[in-house]
Amino acid sequence: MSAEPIEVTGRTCVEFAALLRRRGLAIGPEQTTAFYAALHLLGQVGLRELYWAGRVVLANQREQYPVYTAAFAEFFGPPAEDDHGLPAPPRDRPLVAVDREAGAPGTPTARPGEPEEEADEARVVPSDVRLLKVKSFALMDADERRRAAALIRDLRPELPRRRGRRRRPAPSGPHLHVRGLLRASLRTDGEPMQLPRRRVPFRERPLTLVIDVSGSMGPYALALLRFGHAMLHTGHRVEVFTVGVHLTRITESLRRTSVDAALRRIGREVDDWDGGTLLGTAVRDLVDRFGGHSAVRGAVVVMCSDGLDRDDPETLGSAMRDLARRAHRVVWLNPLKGDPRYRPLQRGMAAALPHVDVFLAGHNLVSFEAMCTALTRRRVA
Amino acid sequence: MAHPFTSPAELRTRLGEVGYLADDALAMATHLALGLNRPLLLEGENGVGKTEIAKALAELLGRDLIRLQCYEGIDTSQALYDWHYGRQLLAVRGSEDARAADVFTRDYLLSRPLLEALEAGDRAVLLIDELDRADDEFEAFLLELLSDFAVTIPEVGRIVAPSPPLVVLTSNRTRDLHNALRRRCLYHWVSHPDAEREFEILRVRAPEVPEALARQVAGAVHRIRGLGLGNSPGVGESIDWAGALHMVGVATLSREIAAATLSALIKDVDDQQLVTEKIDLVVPSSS
Repeated sequence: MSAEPIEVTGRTCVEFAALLRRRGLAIGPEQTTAFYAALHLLGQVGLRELYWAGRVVLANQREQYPVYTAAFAEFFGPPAEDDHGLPAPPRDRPLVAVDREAGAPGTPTARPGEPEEEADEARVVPSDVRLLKVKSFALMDADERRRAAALIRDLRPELPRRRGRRRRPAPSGPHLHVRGLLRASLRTDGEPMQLPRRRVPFRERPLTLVIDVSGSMGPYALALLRFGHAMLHTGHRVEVFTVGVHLTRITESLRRTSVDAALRRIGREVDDWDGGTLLGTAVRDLVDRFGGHSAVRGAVVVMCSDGLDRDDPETLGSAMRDLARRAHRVVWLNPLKGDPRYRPLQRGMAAALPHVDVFLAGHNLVSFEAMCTALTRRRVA
Repeated sequence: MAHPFTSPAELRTRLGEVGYLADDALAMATHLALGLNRPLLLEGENGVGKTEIAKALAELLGRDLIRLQCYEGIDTSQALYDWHYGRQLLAVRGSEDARAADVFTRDYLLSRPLLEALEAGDRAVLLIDELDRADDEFEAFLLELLSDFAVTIPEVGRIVAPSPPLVVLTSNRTRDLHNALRRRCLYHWVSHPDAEREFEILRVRAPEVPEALARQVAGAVHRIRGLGLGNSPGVGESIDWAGALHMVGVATLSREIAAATLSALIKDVDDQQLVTEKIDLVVPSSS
């Protein structure tokens, strides 16, 4: 028990909830009410009880704990540290990056959200298309990039499918739909005239894009982000991560309808854009945090990176091995491969390669089409 | 708000009496869940005792434990209710005027765990286990249940619990649960116990293991979790390991015997190799 009890009024609860909201936790009114009710239930509380009670009611994901703890300390003062102390913040960084306003310094090269890409509509004349398709993303000017974006949007590959579990009514199928049978037979004096069926439908595997955003990868990363956005908005199950110095999950930001608004937001959120690469560490982080998550387990994973890594190649090798064991298929796009003289000799790339199912260039639209074929194709061997 | 415990501390003590050692945060979470009639959502790694807390609460409160194990493809007819089609068909065909026969009444309804728990009200603890294994459509079925303790069956109407049951949901985080569900619940992340609490758990759950050995096991398991394995051992596994060590008849933990009995603790060959390599760190030479 902490020393002196604290007076907490309804107004305090509301103000604390408002502070948490400003820090990026989506707190509904019913949670604020529950917080107040909890304090009422507990009666006299010390700072530590207040901390635990608030955390149980207001922070509803582990990632929110550090944000909550910081806000609590700011609002109520630090909870007394006694024998048990407070839990150390979880080792992963908080996912909610907030209060980092638009004031972030703009960097050159193709950071998302530059004015060039506002027009969504681009008319594509077939004769140019062939030239555009073989041109590297890095060499395109603004106009070409816009037309390429329209082509990327129309790629629409089919993802591999797996058997679902839930039976659904269907025109034909191996199982009897008893509920429908009973309904239908009521109309005919309990005499079943037709036998409705059910079957197990197939479900699509999720697609996960892991995109390197370090220095030289900018234009390729943007093209792939556009691809991810298009896939997400045609109703596929897509997860998107960026890797640079660390791993950032950007799926939620990509959900915005406008691709440019989404890219602008990602540009603000991803703080290692154009930084260096700790690819091995970032992939290891992906496996550790999402290894059992549907974003990795049984998913089709597309990595896009030039394989230049400041980590020990052993780190990347073992992380890729674990990734390949969990994922359904791993596709690696390396824009350097677009040059016919390229050989995957950097040690990081060489360590990763044995664990990659399909190795492609991904530097222009033709190789994006090849990627789509690779996504659709059944697993070989 | 009638529940028999006046403070989280008391609840913690009483849980200890039925063999579950909770920490401050978990005691607070369960205390509030009982007092505010809110479902309690527990997330955490495998084997940290998420399911056990529901069992312990059921025992402590003297209520029935109703358990719904989730799996991919579970739907209303397995979780909530189903119609007794055979009886319905017979009733329709047996009656004079099939049109008049009303076969969509409570009499023809089969209760599945969720409906059963609703009708039992505060005589039940409902455990919805490993919710992340069910597909996301299934969460939508739960929303009405979790916020109002009621379900609506189209043909019958709304069935409301006479008094709210205690609901515990667990998730291993193999997929993200929807925020609509999270907001209806109290949330607690269950982490692995520290060495001291694990020692206490070993004393309670494996009383036959000598105290000195239990303390060494708790310390070693704590250090093993710090190695960054693919699958960290859970509490259940450390109890198994302590039991195994006791069975082979050792009084203190040595490196050789630890490496030899590792199969009771670590269930992955890569992890076993890693621990064997670093056995010097896990079992310090002083012991």
